[in-house]
Amino acid sequence: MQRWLLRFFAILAALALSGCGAYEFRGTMLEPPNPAPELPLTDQFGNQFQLSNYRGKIVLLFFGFTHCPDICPTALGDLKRVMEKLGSDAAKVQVVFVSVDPERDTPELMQRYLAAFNPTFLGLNGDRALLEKAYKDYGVTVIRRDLPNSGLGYTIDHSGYIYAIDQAGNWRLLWAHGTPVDDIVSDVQALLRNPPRS
Amino acid sequence: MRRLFALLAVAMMVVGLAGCGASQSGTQTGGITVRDPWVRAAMMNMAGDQSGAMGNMQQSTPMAGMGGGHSHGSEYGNTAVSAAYMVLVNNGAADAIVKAESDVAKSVELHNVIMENNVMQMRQVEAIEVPANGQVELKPGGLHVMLIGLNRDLKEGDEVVIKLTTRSGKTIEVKAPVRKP
Repeated sequence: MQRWLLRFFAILAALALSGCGAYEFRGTMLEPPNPAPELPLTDQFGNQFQLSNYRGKIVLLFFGFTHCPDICPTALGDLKRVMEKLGSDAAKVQVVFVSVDPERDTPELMQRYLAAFNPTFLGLNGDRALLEKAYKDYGVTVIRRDLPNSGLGYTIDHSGYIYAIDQAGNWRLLWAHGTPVDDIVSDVQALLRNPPRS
Repeated sequence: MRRLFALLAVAMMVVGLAGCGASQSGTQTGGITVRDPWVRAAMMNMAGDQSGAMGNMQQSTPMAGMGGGHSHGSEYGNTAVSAAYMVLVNNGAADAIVKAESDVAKSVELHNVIMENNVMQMRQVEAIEVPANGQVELKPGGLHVMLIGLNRDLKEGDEVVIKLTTRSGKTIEVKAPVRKP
């Protein structure tokens, strides 16, 4: 009996050690983490946005557009659930949506679109040159495609990753579209548990 | 006792038939039927603006910090969009959905999303093929009925009626509940 107990504790200890020793991120890690490129853009309320104002928080970044009825709402719906599951830790996380369709993503449209998910989500837009630099910096593919027979006029092919920027402003992780919400929550909680030294 | 049995059987048949009629209004027996339809909740762009004054509005609210590049903005307006999803079940010969209509949107189209190297590409399709005795699922990240230019907000709990036309010339009326985005 005692032996059995001992073995049980040994397993528990091993589990605990492996748990705190090396958390395995479910997303793709960026090694070494580099400073996340600045996003000198304007949010949907007309305020100037600066990534550097979010030190101490984790920023979850997604590139999309409001006329995207399928993929973007799915990703934003996932991020909304991530925030719900984080509970009080959600206060330490900022979700940022960057427009890949600056012409149609007006502040009004962005306000209504994002409010449907979570009123704390920020939607960024701005000067085309600055946006294009942001796409390039983050390796986001943005291609405009005309849809001649569609009431939509055109659509934007774009990358579907969600990016995580840590509390020190380093670009740490990316998740492919369709990554389970629980995996994102788990990774965010791991970043919150072990804040980077800065 | 026997009589009661017969009555019960008749009653069951009536209920069964009525059930059929209600759930598949407009559908024919055999061919394509629809299961589990739903529409993503969405807000119209601006409250109270249904007059088509989108072009004016855009000029009156220029994007802060935007340096030109406005040429296409007014052309397509700031339309709100949403999508409908469902399972198309086919009990008959191969058929296809070739058209979708609804009074909640200015245009209703059939679209597909193709994912290549994690880049999403949305494309309009002419038809959604449904194989003989098979089924096709319209779901997020794939085929969907796209609602472009919403006439009203689609709120959770609302119902959207969508009329589908098959290549074989049948119409299917779908009553899709609105769910959270």
